[in-house]
Amino acid sequence: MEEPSLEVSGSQGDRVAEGVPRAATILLVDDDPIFRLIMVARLEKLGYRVFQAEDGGQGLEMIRRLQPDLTILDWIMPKMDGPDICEWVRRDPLLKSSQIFLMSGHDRPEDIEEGLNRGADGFLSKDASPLEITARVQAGIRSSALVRQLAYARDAILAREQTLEAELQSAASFIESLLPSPGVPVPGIHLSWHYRPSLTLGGDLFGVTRWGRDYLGLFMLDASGHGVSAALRAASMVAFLHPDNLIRVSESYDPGAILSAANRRFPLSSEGEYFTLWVGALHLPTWRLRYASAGYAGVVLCRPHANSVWLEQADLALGFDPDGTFTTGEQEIRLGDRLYLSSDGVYEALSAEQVMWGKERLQRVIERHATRPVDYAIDQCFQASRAWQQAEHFRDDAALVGLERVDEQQDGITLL
Amino acid sequence: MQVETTVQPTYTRVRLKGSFTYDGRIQFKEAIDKATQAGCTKLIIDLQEVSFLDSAALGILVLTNRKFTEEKRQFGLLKPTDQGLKLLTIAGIHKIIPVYQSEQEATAAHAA
Repeated sequence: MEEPSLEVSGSQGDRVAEGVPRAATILLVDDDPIFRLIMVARLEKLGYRVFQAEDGGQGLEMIRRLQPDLTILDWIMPKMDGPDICEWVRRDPLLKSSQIFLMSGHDRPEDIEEGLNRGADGFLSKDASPLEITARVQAGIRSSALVRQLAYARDAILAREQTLEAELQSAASFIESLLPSPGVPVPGIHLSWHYRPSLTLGGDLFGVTRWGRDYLGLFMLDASGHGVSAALRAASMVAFLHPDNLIRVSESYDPGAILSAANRRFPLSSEGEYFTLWVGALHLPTWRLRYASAGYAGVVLCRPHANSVWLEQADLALGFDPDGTFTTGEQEIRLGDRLYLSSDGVYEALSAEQVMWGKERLQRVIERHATRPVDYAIDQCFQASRAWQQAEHFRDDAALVGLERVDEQQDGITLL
Repeated sequence: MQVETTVQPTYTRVRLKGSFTYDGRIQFKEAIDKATQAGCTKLIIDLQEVSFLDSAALGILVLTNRKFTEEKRQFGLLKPTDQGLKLLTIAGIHKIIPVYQSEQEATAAHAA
C-alpha cells in the first residue's frame, strides 16, 4: 500500500504574514494511484506543494491537520465519498471556509449541482484538458488566498473588538465606582437609585456625598452625547464636583457659585459638547436645600401633604453663555419629603407615535407610589417609561435617584 | 436625517427631516459650511420635520449660532415640533437663538 501524505514539492517557508500563500498547498484525495501520480506531477510543475490521501477518511483527517489552500476530492471513493467530505468540512467551524473542488469522470449538470449544493466550491472533470485543469486550480488557489485574507482580517477585527470591549467594561466599572452606594448617606436620609446607560458607558452621572461637616452634596449631570467621550467628560465633571475642589474654585458650597465656576471650567467644546447639571446642597443642621440648575429640568420634590415642586431654574446649560451666572433656589426638606433626580432619558422616552412620556407622567407615577418604598417607586417609573416607548432599552442614558428624609430614630431602627 | 438647502429671497433655509442627533452632526456641518461658502449671511434651520432632537443636536445648534454671531451673521430656528420646542425651552436655547413660528415671521426678521 502506498504511503500517503507525501510532500512532493514546494518551499518550506510556506506563508507570508497576510495569509497569501507563497507556495500554495494542495491536497489530492483519490483512491486511484495512477490518477494521483498524473495529477501530482502536473501540479508539481505549477509549483504547488502537493499532499495525497488515498481515501475519504484519510483525506478528512489531512484536511483538518494540514488545512491546505485547495483540496481536490474524487467524487467516488470507498467508505466516504467526495460530497460526504464536503459536508463534514462545511460543518466544522475551523474548516468551513476551505476551498474544495470535486472531481469526477462524469460532468453531468445534475452531478455538478449536487456537488455544489453539498459544499464544493468548484468542479473538475477528469476528462478536462490539462490547460483547463491548470486554469481551474489556479482560480481555486486565488479564491483560497482571498478567503484566507478575509478570515485573517475578520479574526483581527474580532480580536480588536474583544480588546476594546474589555477596555470599555473596565471603564464602565470605573464609572460605576463613582456612583454613590444606596442606603443611608447621612442619618435621616435614605438613598435609592436605578441607572441604565444607553451604551456600555454612559454620559449621565450623579452623586450624593458629604460636603464638609454640615452639607449633603447632591448632583445630577448629563454630558451631551453618548459613549466614551461623554463618559470621560462626565468623570471629569465628577472630579470637579469633589468637595475639596469645590471649596477651592467656588469658595463655598453655594450651588449657584458652583455652577458659575463649572461654566467657566467647562466651555462649549469645538464639537458642540456641553453639560447640563443640577447641584443641591442640603444643610443638615437646618434641613434646608439650596439648589441651582444649568439647563437641568429633572428634579422634583414630592411632599406627603403638599403639591410636588420641580426644582428648576431658567438658567442655561453649562458653556452656552461664557459669562452666564446661575441663581440659587431654596426649599425646606421636611420629614417624609422625597427628592427625585431624573435624567432626561427617563422622561423623554418616545412612544411609537413620537410622543414624549414627559415629566408630568413621571410625576404622576411618583405620586401614585408615594407611600411605597422609594426604590419601588423608582422601579415603577422605569416600568412605565419602558411601557410607553414599548422597548426595554433606552435610547438615552436613564437614571433616577430618590432620596427620602426619614426620622433619624426610625432610620436607626430600620438599619438594625 | 435628510438635509435640504434652499435659498429664499431674504435668507437661506436648511430644512432637516427625521431625527437630529449626534449621528447627524457631520451632515449638518457640511450643509452649514456649503451655505457659508456660498456667501450666506442669514440662515434659518427649518425644524418642522424633525421628529426627534437630542442633547448633542442642541449643542451643535448653539455652537453654530455662536459662530454666526461672532461673524455678525444671522441665525435662527423655524417651527420646531412640540418635542423640539420643549427641549429648546428646557435648555434655555430659545433665549439665545431666535425661534420663529412661521416663515412670515422668519422673513420679516431677516428682511431687516
